[in-house]
Amino acid sequence: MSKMFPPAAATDQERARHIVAPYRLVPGVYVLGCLEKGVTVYRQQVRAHNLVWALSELARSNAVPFKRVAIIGGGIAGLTATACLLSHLNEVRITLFERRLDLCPRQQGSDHRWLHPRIYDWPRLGSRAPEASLPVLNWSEGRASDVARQMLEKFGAYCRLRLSENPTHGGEINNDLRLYLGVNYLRVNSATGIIEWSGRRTVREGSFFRAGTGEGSKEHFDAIIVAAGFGEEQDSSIPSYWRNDQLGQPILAGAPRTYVVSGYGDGAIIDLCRLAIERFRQDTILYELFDKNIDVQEDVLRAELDEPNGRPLYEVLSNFKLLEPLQLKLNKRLRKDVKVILHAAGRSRSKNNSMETLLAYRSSFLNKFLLYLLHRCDAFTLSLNSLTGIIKEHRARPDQVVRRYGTKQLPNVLDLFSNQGVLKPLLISMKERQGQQTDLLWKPGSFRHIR
Amino acid sequence: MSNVDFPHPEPVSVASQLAVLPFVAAVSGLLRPENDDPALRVTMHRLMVREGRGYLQQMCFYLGGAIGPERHVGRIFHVTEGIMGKAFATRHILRTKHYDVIEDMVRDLELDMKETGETRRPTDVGHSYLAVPFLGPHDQAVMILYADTKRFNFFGDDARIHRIKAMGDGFCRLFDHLQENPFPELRNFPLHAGDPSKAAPTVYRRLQEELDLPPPRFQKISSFNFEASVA
Repeated sequence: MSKMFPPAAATDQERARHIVAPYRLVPGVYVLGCLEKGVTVYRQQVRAHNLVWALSELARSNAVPFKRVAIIGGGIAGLTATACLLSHLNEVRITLFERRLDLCPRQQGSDHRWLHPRIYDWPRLGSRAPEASLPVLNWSEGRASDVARQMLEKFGAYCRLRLSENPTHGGEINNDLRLYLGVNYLRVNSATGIIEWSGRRTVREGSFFRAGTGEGSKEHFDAIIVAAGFGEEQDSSIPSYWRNDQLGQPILAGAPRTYVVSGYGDGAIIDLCRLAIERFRQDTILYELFDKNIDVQEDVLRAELDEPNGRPLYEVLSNFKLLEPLQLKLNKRLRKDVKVILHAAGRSRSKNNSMETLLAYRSSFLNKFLLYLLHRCDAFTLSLNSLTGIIKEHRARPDQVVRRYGTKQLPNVLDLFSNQGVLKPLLISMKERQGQQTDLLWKPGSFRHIR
Repeated sequence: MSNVDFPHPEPVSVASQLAVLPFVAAVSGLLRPENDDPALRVTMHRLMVREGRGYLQQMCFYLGGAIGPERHVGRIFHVTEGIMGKAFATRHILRTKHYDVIEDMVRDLELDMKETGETRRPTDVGHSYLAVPFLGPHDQAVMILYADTKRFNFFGDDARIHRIKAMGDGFCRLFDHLQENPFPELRNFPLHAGDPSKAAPTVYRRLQEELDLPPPRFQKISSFNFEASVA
């Protein structure tokens, strides 16, 4: 059960101030989830709802200026924040900037990544529910490409709604709502609230947008929301987590292959599961392992996890009463066409990870649970040797080495600003605090919901 | 029924809507031959919880004299709202009591409307109301069937209420079975429990009465939130 924060008895204004504080970098500049751990599509959307609701509450009482808003990032967080603004506030002028030539660029066409709103919260009550149940840009589980399509269509619907309510603007994107794609230059001066940029102004085509003619400009904004999202991979030579691959597909010809997965976060564990488990999908694996009794067994698991003495997860799982039948079932699902080595040191040469320490990291519980089960099934080899040594030993080809080291969160955000020296310590502190909650803190019924 | 505190609806999954619509349609089908009021409305609400606070949420559009509007799906109310709020609190079936003459009903309605701060005129609101709570295994209200009509004394007929209650019993039996034996891609995903979000009660206290008739009861279902997953 999540904590009530801020206190339920607080006024809307007080709640709004509490909500906004962990997002505020400097007055007028807000960072939306970019530096948080455990970033998921759903959590980013919740943060967007919370932040927009809170800022609009403060704007209502003139506590913050909020007439001209810039949103940096046309991914899911940026689109949700923009749609929340369109849904909630009619008088705000919004400008959205996206570096790529399309909105939601990471997830579009990503057919091999499965997105589920809350599965990372499992075994929390209701976490298996396939619908996000969010008022703005609601979606249901699916391939990342399907989710992106749902988002873009609904985003288009919010844009149409705004335009239909402002008929004087002739039904086309106008100065109240500007979208720039292919923004190859953008600098924010956080002290003045001025953004300088060059990019292509968009043209609306039905529900979607395409990059039009280029233009460069410099403007002042009352509020700047940085929604740079998941960011680039730590190592630019590594293909993005979202690019399609064939790891989850059976090998059609030749001998079994050895794959090396380097890393120990959620991305690495998911790819390990795809390589080690037949027909793996994060949501269905639970029903396949737990059968009809899943609700009851989740209760048992929750009770063990909620024990007040706070035992290490390794110990909790080792003593989990349902472990044996789950292990038996998973054993029957292991792939025979691959051998997997988990290079658990990841990018760090000095990390001396054991199963116990891997389970102590801040990955999703489901991933750690599956990692532990796979370990019990001897479905992979945990290696602490150097990555080069492992690759050499197993003669793994480059396409048989998967590196998942997370994304460059801090540089991604910092690069947007001209006054980096001042902001870097603030961003580091924000990253350390991890204060942007993912509880649903906006007042119910605040946003216009389009189905 | 006003919901000024919550101007916009929050989502109700299509699967949840579809799960209750046939039942609501059947109840409205039962009532319509005896009620040609175009303003007859029947719908279902559920208890929905957000971060520890419980609200009543309209699960589907109205059925009855007309169908719709869709914008009402997902509307949120304090658990103290109108006759539903009273049914939620007492866990009893509530209805507009039988009056011998319409003038007495109008007099009570006027007094009740004044007391609850209603700005509408008595001619603009229903003259007969019904709220049937569907209780869960822990005696809590999970859902509330709501109906209103301008027909005088319409829910004062005991036999009519007994028939609706019997239909509710059948609904509960079905969904208890589905809770134990869910469809592979369609199941009930539990909602958290929470403290009810209350405001000043707005029930028409003179007009409405509690019935001494056990309401429908789920044996297995504590919250109603059906969702469909991809195969």
